[in-house]
Amino acid sequence: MLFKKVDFLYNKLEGLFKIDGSEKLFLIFFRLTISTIALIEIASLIKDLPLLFSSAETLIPQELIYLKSGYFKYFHPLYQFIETNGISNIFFPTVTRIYIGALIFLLLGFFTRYAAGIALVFQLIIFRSFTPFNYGYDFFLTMSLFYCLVFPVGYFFSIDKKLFNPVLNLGFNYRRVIQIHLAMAYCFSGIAKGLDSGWWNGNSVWKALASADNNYHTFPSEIFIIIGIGTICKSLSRSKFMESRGKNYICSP
Amino acid sequence: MKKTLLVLFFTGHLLLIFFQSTWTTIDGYWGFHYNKKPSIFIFNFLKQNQYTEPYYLLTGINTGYGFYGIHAATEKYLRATYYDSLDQVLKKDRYFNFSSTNGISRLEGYASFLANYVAKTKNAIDADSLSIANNDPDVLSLRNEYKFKKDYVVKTLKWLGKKEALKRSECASYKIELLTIVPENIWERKERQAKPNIYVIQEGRFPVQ
Repeated sequence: MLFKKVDFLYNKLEGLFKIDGSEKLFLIFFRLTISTIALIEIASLIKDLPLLFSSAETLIPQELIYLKSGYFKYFHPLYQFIETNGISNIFFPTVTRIYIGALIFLLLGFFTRYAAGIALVFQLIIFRSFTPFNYGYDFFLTMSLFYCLVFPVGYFFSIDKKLFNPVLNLGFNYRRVIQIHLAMAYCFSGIAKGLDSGWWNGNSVWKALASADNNYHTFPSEIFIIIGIGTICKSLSRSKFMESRGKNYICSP
Repeated sequence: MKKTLLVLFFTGHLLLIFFQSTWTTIDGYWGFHYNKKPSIFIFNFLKQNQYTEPYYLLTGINTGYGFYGIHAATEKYLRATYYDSLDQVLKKDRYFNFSSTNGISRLEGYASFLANYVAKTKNAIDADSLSIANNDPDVLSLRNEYKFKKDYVVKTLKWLGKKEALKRSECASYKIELLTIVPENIWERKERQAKPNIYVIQEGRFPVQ
């Protein structure tokens, strides 16, 4: 009886991740876009990195006290090792270069899995050593690089394919993992907003938009209400929206 | 076999995300409305703890999924003012030489972090009802922590303006302000064209050495 129930549940799960024919295109698209976005992001920030408490081109605040964060206990032994071995002068100026190199390798699909792993670790070192400079984008980039590591993104349209010609029997819908992940993110974002009266009466939208740099605060209150309720509805219905858009979803995650 | 492993691994992975999303939403709501952390056994077991933490950090799923939801905050930012020896203003600056919107956004995020840090430290100090003469090691350690946190903010503000101040030979001192837009109830505002009020959370004035 129990075995039957487990089997039934497993079959349901297998059905959820059933292939739909778009896996190959998705894996190519995912690798190219994630590595390109990450490269554009680091390129846009590279000139500003020394302004973020860093004496080298990283977000690592060598010039300021390290603040304890969830990452501190994992990075602290690494920084101690670097300090005691006197390799700070080599390590800090090169981390960004290694990160960019790994992203280029990932983009080209050259030793893809290793490149994704290195990019993931260095993204954590560069961007998470000092969490106060983080925003949601950094978390989503970590997630994306992790998915580049575990998904077989280097099997198609890559240098690896040309050199090693690996064979992959695609029997799993990797796109579905991303769909469910993002659907949950948007849905819970909508629930959180729905629980706050400010999103229903427009006050939270005013707070989110009011800035010293714009005049959005001058909008009529009714506009804020429409935007607030619209945001809740859009976030909550995002999961259904993703489902109905099918293949087109991958173009606008 | 490989497919089974993939199904099980990604099901577990997505379940963790589901628990993290549920937890951060409940935690945000409870923390804001009841000012305490909820404790639910099953969530405590699966949420970010010493056993699950490495996986959460490596995969990046430790983000707050109720982002910008419960109790949205107003914009926080930093402003520098540089003075000469006669106290005349040489320059006012909000962007600290950042050239990219990415860098400016991160600086604004940091200003929000600093504002929360200052508020939390102040609340902790206000809630400390123990006698000043109390020399218990735990109490002393707690007070050292308050001092560290207060010093940290001052040190940060000082660092932010230091490079620019040193570049200007005529600059004798500089002031760094941590500012916030004061939240308004849009249904009670009389003049919607008026600029929002600004409040100085903390400021520091530093001589150029």
